Amino acid sequence: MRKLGILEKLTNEFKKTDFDAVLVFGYDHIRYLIGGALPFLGSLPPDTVAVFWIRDAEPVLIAPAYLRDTLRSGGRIRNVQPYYPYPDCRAGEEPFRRAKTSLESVLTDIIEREGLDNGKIGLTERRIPFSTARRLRKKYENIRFTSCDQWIKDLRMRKTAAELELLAELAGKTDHGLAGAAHHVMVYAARPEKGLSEIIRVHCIERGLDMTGYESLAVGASGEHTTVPWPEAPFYGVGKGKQLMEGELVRMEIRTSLDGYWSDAARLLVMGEPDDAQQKAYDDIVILRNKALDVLKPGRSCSEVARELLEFCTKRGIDLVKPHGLGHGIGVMPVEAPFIDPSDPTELQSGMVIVLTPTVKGPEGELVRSYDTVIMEEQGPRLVGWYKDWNTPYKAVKSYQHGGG
Amino acid sequence: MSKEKSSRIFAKFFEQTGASAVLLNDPNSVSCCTGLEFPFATHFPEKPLGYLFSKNASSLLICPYEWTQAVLDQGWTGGVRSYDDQNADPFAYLAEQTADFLKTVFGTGEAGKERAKGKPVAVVGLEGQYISAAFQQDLDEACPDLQWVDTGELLRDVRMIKDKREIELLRTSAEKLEFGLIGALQHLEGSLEENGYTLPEFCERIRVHVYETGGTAGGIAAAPAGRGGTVWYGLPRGKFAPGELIRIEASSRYMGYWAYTSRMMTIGEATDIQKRAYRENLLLKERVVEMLSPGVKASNIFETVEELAAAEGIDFRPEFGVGHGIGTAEMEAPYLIPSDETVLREGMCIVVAVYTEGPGKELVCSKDTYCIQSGDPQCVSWYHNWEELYEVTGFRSAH
Repeated sequence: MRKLGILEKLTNEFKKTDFDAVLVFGYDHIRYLIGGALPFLGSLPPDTVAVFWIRDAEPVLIAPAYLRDTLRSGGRIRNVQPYYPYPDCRAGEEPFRRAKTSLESVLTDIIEREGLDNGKIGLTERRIPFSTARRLRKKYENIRFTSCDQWIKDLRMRKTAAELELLAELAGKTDHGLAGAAHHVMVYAARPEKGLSEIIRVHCIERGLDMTGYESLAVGASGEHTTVPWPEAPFYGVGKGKQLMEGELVRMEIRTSLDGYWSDAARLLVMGEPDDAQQKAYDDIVILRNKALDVLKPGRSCSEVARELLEFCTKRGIDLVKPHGLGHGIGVMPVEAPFIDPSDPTELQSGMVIVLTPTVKGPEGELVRSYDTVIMEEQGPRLVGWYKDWNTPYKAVKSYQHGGG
Repeated sequence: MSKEKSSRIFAKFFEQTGASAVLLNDPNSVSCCTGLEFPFATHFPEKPLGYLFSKNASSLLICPYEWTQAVLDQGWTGGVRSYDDQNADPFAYLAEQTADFLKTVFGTGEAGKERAKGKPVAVVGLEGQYISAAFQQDLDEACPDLQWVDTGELLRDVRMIKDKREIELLRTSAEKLEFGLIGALQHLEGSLEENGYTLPEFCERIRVHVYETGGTAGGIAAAPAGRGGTVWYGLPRGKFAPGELIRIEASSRYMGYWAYTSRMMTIGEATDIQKRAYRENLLLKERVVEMLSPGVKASNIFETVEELAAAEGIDFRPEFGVGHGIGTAEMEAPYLIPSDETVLREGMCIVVAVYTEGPGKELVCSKDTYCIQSGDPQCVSWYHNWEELYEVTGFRSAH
């Protein structure tokens, strides 16, 4: 696993708070703290795994025993305290005789052993299950449980230098993967959408990226299928038999990861030369991208930027599909804060990474997109990861075979 | 589960608790009670879902905008409200819409508060073990005149027993995963003559073949090999090496219902010691299967297996339990572990998952899914003869 400086950063930031400890629940936060690619965590109930971190001590990961070795070897937190689904059932074997049977029993043990029962504990109130929180509050009336949601959210939004490097690398490899897949698309030897989504994934794997399953998927949507975000639901990211046809717009999208960090990418392919209306829709995306790069500045709030972009679209007659949003953060989740949205008061800061995601309606109702990853720096946003010049869409050749078709 | 079945179940819940509505937020519960499949909703904690169902059969689904079309395309005819995909506080929207729905149905809100004179206007069920403490507070603030009761036990119970349609979906799902895995294995066989597959490529082949057989989504796909096989999961890395004992861990979904498997193989012919380790695993697995009958306690199955392992000197890994339920979640109740006192009933579907150790401490497991019925349980995941350890010898060179 790469050294990203997360625990060092958190140790320093922890010292600036008045928490005696923090108790972190939530798939996304746990991913951030543990590091590594642990895709299965998102499928587990929310009270399965937690990190308990006492000031000036090493963080403790509390997890079911069957995950102990996986989490130790795949993550950066070495102190994994397991709990077992049974008490005393292997009489005579020391580890099992003293087994804790739930996350709460391990936690209780630590709280009492460390004398924290009068302390102030930061709690991810947005992630801890209500019934777990209620039991803890009832059991420890003297502990001041205080929300630390904003604290950890802020930490996740501002990336370390190593995280920025990793996210830029990811964006580049993903863009290369998409372009690599597009090289294999030909107008007169068209493949079905299923084949397109497959070669998008395969080209990302070939570039060393991880297709970890679940939300790590690719979409290849053409023609009428480009009018909805998830064509042929519930076949999410599968793609079925529809062939790509001459003259169609094709959306190529992928969410993939590397060392537990994500890219969220979308590019547009045209089956041949775009007609005037298709070109206009794509030009609107380019205009909007350039405007976004102009208005994204450290110190401005996300909501202010969003409002300015929305007004810009209105003035320029750009048919923005507003509910899909304008941009979001990225890191250990493919979609995370901050959001370039009127609802987000977050102030943009150097060290944030944003994926610009405006969606414009095409001539046949297509969702026209071309996502761009930008790193916020003091002087403004730095666009990363372009494999080709995306001021024009990818145009499929008629029939020449690139790399075997 | 059909919407009609969930209506009947909720009617029972309403009768037992005095509740007038229920709010579900666990995407797996929502899928179970609506028949809808979402694009990995549990993996997006910042994209919450809400499903409201009232005593008078009104319903409302609240979801991100990008999922709305997918919901409608699956034939959803209930109400839908959506929040913008990049709303920074979707929970506030969810609480607000919940309050609005309940106000419409029960006349709650300010008017209700006045009418009730401090007493709750209505009782509403929620999933206490799923919703966050902060969201519960949002709900309290948005709906000050409601009383909330936990539906956790009810839903656990409801989700454990599958109806015929659900069993058929689970069977189909298991079949597609099994064919996906066999397809990937055949390609692996074919690749040995040349340069061989990398582990990531093999895992991707599982997904591709699941899709080719009609699966709707891919889940975990890993092939812990050799020393890497001593831990349950690791990212697929590197290439297959001759002589290694390999465990394939894979899951996939079909129309909202999961399949989950582990299968074992060796690259090249298996050694006697590897074969013995596999046979030992199957011996424990068979004992589980023998006990999968209505009336048997989940905990008793675990205990029996543990005793057998001790008697036979088999390196059993008890922390994994010996099985679990499956449905709209990959792992769900009942759990074949000592602390689960659930009595097995007809209609439960169980993934038999016994982990033992191989000669190099590799985890050995060969999972199968069984539906409990009167008499012997029905296996729904057996499309290849897994009674012997699969040996990848390159018998097929067409791929």
